[in-house]
Amino acid sequence: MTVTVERNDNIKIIALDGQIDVATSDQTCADIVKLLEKKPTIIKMPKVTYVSSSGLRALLMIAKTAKSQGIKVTYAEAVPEVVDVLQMTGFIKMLHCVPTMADALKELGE
Amino acid sequence: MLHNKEFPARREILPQALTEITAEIKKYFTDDKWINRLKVAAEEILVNIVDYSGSEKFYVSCDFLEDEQTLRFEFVDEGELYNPLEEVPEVDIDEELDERQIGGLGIFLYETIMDKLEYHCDDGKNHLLAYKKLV
Repeated sequence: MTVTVERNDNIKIIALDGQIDVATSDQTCADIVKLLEKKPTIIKMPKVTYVSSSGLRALLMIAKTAKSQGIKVTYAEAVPEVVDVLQMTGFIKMLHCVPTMADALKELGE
Repeated sequence: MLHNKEFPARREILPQALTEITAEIKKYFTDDKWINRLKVAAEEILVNIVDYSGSEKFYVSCDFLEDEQTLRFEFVDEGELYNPLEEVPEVDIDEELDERQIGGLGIFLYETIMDKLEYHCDDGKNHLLAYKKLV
């Protein structure tokens, strides 16, 4: 899994590329948590091809950490297979997952 | 074909096991959504075996039941005897972030995805069977 900061001004955009599964979820979670700052953040997911239940746990940990630090995080552009798993578990609503980057920026007030 | 294929029960082996399982799924399922769902279910079952059973290895079979048009997986381990279907934690998918627990999602996922799950113990081994009819 590659974690890249694409933008870091008043909003931070973190792009993910790869699978969030049993092999990568712990490191992905640690990498993203390390990048969180006190500013609204978008996690861009179009290149995430697979999220397993280990991946869901990582996303939940990230969301809980962000919330405890008062950081608003939105997830954007997940592919249909990932959206399906997020929907099945109620994560789509709980994590503020939106279809497009424009929706995410709007959600964060830009 | 996967027939009682043995794998060491280690996390680093799981990607290889899942690649082989996914290849079997793709022989019968063409919809990416269902291929992905079945992979998610298989991964969760295997993670539970590797992390909690104490078994040194596990075995996977995958066969297609023609009459029922159903794909059947069998996961076998030699760890502590445990029926994962006995105590399925309740998951409220409408819970807000603060209330959500980190655990419990896995069994919920494979119960939701599969049509039928069966557990039995035989020869001191745990056998978990998971069925999914073609969609």
